[in-house]
Amino acid sequence: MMSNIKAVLYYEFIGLKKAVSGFWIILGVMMILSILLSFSMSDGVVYMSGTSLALALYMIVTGFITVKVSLPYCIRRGATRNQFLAGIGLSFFLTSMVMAAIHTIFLELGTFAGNLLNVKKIHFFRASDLISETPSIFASTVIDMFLFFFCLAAAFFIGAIFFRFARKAGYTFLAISPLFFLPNIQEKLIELTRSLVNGPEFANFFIIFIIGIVCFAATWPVIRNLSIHPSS
Amino acid sequence: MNVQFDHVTKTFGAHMALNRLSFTMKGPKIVGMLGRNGAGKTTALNMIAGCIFPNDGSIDVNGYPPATKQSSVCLINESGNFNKEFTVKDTVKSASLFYPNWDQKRADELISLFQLKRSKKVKSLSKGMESALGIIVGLASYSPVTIFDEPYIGLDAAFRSRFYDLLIEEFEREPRLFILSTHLIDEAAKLFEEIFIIHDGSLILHKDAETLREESFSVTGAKKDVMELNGKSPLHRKEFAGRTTAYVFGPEWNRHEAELHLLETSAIPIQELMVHLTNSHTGGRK
Repeated sequence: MMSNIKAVLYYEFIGLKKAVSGFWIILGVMMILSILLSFSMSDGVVYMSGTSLALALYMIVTGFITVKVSLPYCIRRGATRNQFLAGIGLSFFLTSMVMAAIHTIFLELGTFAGNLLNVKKIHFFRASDLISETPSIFASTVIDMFLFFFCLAAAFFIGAIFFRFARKAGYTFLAISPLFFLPNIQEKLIELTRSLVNGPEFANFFIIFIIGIVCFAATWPVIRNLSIHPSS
Repeated sequence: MNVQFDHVTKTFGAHMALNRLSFTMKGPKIVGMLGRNGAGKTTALNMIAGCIFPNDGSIDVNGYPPATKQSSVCLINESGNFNKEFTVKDTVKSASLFYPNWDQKRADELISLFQLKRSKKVKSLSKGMESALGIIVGLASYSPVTIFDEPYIGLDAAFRSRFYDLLIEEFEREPRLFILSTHLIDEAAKLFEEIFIIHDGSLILHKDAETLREESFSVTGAKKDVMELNGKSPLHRKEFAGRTTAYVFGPEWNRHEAELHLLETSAIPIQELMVHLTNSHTGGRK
């Protein structure tokens, strides 16, 4: 059981290692360009949200394609669907943690370089800025992690629906998915979205993380009896 | 090392891929699963590996349903076995973690034998080299049930011959249940101890190779003599230069009886036997 989970983790690690290194190189170059561009400004502060947005998008794409790329391989190599899910769950958790930590390091380095060059007109925006003007590094990293995990898990769930029921059924699911939620759950979700926009608290991001876990758990009934066809 | 199918049915939309398929494979053995395109072989093999679930019936691999305990099965498909972005080294390392009986030393030997570069990405390998990688993983996995479904697409004759030798070598070294599905039947026929022929999702023949060779032969002679002998309806009959050849199969045929009628007899290649048995227009009889 554990050896197959380890095997799934290794497979994910190798796959992500290559994609992630390219991603961070591009993002690093973009940050340097942002700092250089800020030299040309005479006044005001530029809020750069590019890194957070890019990371969230990266997580969504990664979560979505994991079902199509990793599931067929791991099942063919001998993992059961439960072992696959356990391995992917761990991999998502570690990925969101590591990516949030790297994000922190990148932004701290960017801010340090900005200070060194006496560029005070640039501020790298991240989700933790919503709860405080001066969030701690730890809080910023944890909030990023919660968000990244949510993006991975929600996209993984939607990817599983597309993989199992094909594209048409996937789009249909997306279109009618709001109807699945009971009215009081919908109300709570609207409240959560409002509080995230108006006065977010750390607890709100924790709820997002919990929703991510629920999405991940909801994937189990989708892939439990999923057939992997030779052409997959 | 047993695989058992009990009335397994699988449909894909309106198409019935397997129709109440039942058989038992008992290892250690090298068995051939043969049939025409679309017969249901790949579906059945993917079910053994737990990739595809049946609509009806049950499958048992070494005492368990395949999707609940899979490390005893290694399936190598015709293509798409590996992540194209991985290097050969990453692919082998990744596979080694899935199979508890993995032999890294053997994998290294096979990589050298097939002249694969470890640093090359799977997507940059030729079709034949990708097939070789599949063969390496299949053989080094030492899985009690190892399935090769058309494993050598793109491999040249020399490497295919090497693969057949390796299969025998590996079987002697560590006996297990090897299931080989191929369209190059004549090449691989010498390996099979048991043969399963699937047609339209059903098993139409299951015999050990020796019995099959004894019970199938061709009879050639004057048309009248052959027709007299063929009161029993052969699989196939053809005429050439005034002589008639009939392909016969089944325990009711006796090679000695044909020879007593001064008819020539000779073995039928398994490939030809399969072709005539699965002749869908005639239901296998002509």
